[in-house]
Amino acid sequence: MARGGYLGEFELMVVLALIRLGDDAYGVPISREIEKRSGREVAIGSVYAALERLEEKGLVASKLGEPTAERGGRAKRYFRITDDGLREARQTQRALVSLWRGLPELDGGRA
Amino acid sequence: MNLRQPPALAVWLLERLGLTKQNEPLAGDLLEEFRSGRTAAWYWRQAFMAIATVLGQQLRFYRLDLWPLFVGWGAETLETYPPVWLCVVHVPLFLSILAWTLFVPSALMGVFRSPASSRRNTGSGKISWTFWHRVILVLRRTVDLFFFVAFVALIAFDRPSFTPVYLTVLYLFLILRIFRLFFDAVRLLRSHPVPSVAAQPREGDA
Repeated sequence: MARGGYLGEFELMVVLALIRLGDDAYGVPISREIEKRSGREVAIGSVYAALERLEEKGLVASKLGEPTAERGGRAKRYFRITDDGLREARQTQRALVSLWRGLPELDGGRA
Repeated sequence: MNLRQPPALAVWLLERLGLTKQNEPLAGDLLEEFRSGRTAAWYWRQAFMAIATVLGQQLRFYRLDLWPLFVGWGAETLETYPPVWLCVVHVPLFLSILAWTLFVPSALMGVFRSPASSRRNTGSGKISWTFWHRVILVLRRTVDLFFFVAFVALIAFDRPSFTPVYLTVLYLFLILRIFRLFFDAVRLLRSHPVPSVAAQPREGDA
């Protein structure tokens, strides 16, 4: 298991968005993906904060792209999931699925 | 290409308070999203969230350095409510001694500077409580300023990763403290240690 323990809810969302997006993952598509799936507005600043924490833990790696005019001369920072990150996501998934399983209150949409 | 511009003030605030080395591309991301059809209100929300996030991160990172500031502000607040500071136990020993040494005399004078005691001293030829209170206040403000300068110097020289924006905020606080000390010093200098005859209460004042 990785050093940081289980992923938090938002960190897990970011990691899953990264896995879905592959090599094209930077701030905008990551936040759009989370918004699309969760139906809630996402603060891109919070996405960066989560990515920073994940990068410190070695679960995510990043590299700077080239500056572009349409972004006001700012470069994109591309993120990708590392092997440790994938392992951590699987670990969290196993733990959550195990906790989820066998809960009648959460089966079939009953309140 | 759609070249509409986001609100200038929001951009200004974001660039000064919401960007760090790690999240610098955020400004480009927000601009890209804004130009793809997001509203100005959305941009403002994102800018505020980015600023709040960075502030939270910085506070968590520098919380130990901020201790003296919190103690200073706490002392100021507690002085206003004397019974409360009896409950203060969880402050580091040095700071605790410092804070008590500085604000207890001031607070005690505040407590005992009741209207009755003020009247007793007025006209008796003794130096008024108000005057001593102001002396202590100026001393306290001076020491407070000294520690704040030390704090700013520590941040400026020892932690170069602290962004210029936060240094600017600290300098603003510094200017505020200097102004406060100046104001209190002027008030002290303009007050008379021995109240004048004109300030004496008239006969019959209860």
